[in-house]
Amino acid sequence: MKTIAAISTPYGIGGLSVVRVSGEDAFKISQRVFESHDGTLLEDMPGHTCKLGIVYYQNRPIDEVIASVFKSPRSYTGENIVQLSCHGSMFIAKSVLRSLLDAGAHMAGPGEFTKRAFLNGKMSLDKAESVMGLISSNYEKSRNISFSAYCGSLDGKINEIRQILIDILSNLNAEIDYSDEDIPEMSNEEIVSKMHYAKSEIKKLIDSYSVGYVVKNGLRTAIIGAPNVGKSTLMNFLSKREKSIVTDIAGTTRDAIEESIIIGDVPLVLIDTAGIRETEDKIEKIGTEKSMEIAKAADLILILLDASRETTNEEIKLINLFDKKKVIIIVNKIDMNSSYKCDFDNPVLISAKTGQGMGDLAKRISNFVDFGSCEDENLIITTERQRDVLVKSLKSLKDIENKIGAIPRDILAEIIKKPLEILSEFSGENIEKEIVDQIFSKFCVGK
Amino acid sequence: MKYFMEYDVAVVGAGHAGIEASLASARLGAKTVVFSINLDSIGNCPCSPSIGGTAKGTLVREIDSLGGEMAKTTDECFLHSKILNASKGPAAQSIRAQVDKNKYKILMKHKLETQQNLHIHQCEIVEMQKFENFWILKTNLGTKYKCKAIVLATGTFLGGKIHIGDVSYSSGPDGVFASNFLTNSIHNLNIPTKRFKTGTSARILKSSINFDLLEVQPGDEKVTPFSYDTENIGKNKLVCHIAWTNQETKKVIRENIDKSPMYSHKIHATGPRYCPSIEDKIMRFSEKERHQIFVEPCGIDTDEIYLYGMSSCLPEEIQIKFLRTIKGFENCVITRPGYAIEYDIIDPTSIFPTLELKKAEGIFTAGQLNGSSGYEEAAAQGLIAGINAAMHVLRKDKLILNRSNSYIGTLIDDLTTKGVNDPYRMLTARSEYRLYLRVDNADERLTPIGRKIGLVSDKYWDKFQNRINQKEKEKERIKSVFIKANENNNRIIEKFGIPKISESVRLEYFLRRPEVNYNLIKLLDKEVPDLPENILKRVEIEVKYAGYIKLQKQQIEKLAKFENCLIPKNFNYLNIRNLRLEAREKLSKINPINLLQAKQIPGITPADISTLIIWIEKMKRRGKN
Repeated sequence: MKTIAAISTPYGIGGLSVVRVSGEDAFKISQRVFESHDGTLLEDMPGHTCKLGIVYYQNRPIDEVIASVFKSPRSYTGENIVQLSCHGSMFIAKSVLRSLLDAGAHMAGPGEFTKRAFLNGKMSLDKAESVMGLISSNYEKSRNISFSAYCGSLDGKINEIRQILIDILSNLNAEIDYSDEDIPEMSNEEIVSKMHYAKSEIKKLIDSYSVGYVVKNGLRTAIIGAPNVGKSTLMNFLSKREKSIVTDIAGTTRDAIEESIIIGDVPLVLIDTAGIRETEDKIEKIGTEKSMEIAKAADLILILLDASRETTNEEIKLINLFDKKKVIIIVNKIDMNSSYKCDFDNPVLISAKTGQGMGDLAKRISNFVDFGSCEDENLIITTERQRDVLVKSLKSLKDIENKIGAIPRDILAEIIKKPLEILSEFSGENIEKEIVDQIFSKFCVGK
Repeated sequence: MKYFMEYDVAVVGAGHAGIEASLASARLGAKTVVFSINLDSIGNCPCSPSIGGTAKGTLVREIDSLGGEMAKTTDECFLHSKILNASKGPAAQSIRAQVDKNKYKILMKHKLETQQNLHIHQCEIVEMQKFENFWILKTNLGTKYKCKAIVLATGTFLGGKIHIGDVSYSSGPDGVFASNFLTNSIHNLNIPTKRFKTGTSARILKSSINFDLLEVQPGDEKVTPFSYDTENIGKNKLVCHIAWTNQETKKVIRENIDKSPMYSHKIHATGPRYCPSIEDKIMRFSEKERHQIFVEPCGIDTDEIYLYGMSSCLPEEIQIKFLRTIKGFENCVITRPGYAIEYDIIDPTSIFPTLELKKAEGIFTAGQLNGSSGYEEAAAQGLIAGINAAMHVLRKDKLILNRSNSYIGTLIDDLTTKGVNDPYRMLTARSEYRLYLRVDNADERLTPIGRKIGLVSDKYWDKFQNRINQKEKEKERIKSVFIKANENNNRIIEKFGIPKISESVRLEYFLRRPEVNYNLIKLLDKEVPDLPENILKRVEIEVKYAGYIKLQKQQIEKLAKFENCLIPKNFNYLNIRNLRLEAREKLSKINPINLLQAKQIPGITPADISTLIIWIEKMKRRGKN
């Protein structure tokens, strides 16, 4: 594999920037741009040690850096790694990187270090995914979840579930392979009850995806309403930016505008939409249709009403169109009519202009995602792939449960491998060996 | 140089592996000699006098299907036979038979003596050397033999050392001396060896057992032969018994555990996990109240009784002490004490799946020398080693069975690809194709292969084809027969405890129901042809398991892609820069013959295989241009 390099710290100004080089030729390539003060060559340094020295770019010294050396296979990627910690300036970091690329390194693709770590067997697939989560996470909750997945708590849970199935399987196999020994037979009831437990644990993980999804991707939140109720003003207030064009002319927002923000504990992808109204104007009509589409696909819909005027029939129709559980009704411009009376239950009264009621709105949004629904914050799945694996394994367990009374043990011992194989996709372990090992450690058999 | 004799193939050792190897080699037309330290221990069963068991019984059937001898001889001298796992489905089933130990030896010795192209000779082989294109074998008398190929089937004799309590001495089993020199010649070929350990239980005298206190374990009413060739197998000749250890047994063993050479670390060799000694069982599974003992007669003309489950290497006086705590054994007399035996094995990753040594062309190895354990595992390898030694001499294509067509293939692939950490026993759990690799269809899987090699006789082949034709015809017939939903039929169906049928049903579908068998069908369908029971049984199994077998076959086809992708013989993995260093080292060591074998190597990842595919593809294209 090619030797790759990249700036591993975020773009921007900080105390330090780290440029990482990984691959078979990491020492050779880095040596072309780096010279340690005491003359030690990188490849002569023991793994997990560092040296102070100078990095050159086009033969000119550009920074004094610390070079840390990790030797294959004892490194993050499993390959040779050199990490150059330089002073925190984007200009310096970029120059160091450019110098390395000139010296023969290739620019690393996104996530490539982690991908190599996975390919070299340094980490399991779900761990690799959690690393990607850690890198891209920009708020604390997400970071917590990714970090605990990195530490293996998800791995641990999946293993616990697999262990239940391996237990059943090794028992079945011991019964078959040591039929002439006094091995207690596991009854169908016992097997079903074990499978029930496995199923309920898998279900819990699947359910955690509703939270995990939000944590990872943000809650897709559409702001909709009639023209000129203040959707863009709300958007701008929440995102603290002048992104949507705000005018007094109805129908100014034609295209949806997206913004990632965090309210309370919840990451949102806020989508400002074109005002919805019945109209003959072709372009506005397209806008209205698009807004409806966005609302339908959203996880949360903020429907904006205007306190300064009567609620129209059209708006009532709009509110009734959506599942109430997905909707928060917001009455804007409350500063213009403090005696406003709302016909709908539980509205949030705000003024996007003055900021009045914004605390209430934040609370309502925070409550919308029920973090408490997951018993354990460490056991939350965050990718579609993980969910897919779990759903498939659950289905296969249900299939087996339906058949269990009607099939002999030899078939049962075969088909119960299926959910195990599916679950192995989480981290990819070899089940045949585990089962044989377990037979020997668990059962007393002999001649 | 002068030689005493010249042969095509020389087989060293005449245990279960050596017997199959020498017979196969001679039958294929190679002039063969088989050496044994004591000709009267040809085909000895130094441990349990029984053949078969789960997975092992299937191995025996597979040996028969290819033209081997173990199944036939077992049928000729069995005393007690039983189908195991009768209620757990056909893929879990197998046969286990007690044999008359002495008769088994006499029968096997005579088969070797009368085999055309085969000589038996009593001597110890002490040296093995390459000379030009030949191998020279030297005996303990200094006599030299010249041969083109060798099969090493040394069992537990290479460096054999017996331990009982704190006593240990150089020996093979049953008082036959060990072979202490040949390992040097193996080392000279640059092949490392290591030590394994196994053990056996005491034999006790029949007249010293109170059988009234034991449970009787009768054999099957109707005995199922191992060999497809056996007609009129006859009835069981005697019964076995079951005894149990108790708290007192446990106490005696616990108090004396320091006298075990295993526990005092006198033995450093690795013993079998699946077959621990009674002291191991009691120490490791201390919560278990009692352990089962099978009380097995060793033969008709002997009163020695084998105790299956009581292997021990404690001192003799402790063995008698704990045996006498057992109900029924209060006054037992030991004829031979149990012992542990250490012996040399080679690392089986140093052989190809043909069982030929990678570093020594023309030398094949089989049985315990390869790290396996068990008579059946040994015989299976012996057969393949003998076939391939003959193929080597005749310059024909060698035989490699695979995981998807046999337990033999699975066994050899496991050994040669994964290596061994402790003596290897065949288990159905080791196969990914258990539902297909059944004891009933071994002939269908392997007899065409045996025929092609030339080990299957015309008579056997005709009978085989006849069986398959009958079976296929019946499978075809039931597709067009319907069971009518009339009152009469439903009365019969309900008598079998099966829900009534409301409309007429195709016989094939009806047979798929778990509770339906041919006993019922014969009452509903007067047209059922008069076929042997085993053929109707096979129809039943194949119809019931069709869906599952189809899935396994699909999987097999999927893997065939990897199997058909051959890796050039002297492929240099160290040059593949994209391959992980660990993968390069492992692949170089095993030198897999195809991608399927490469996939099975522990520590090789799917990513490594992808890299390998690309390289092989590249090399092929380069070759074409």
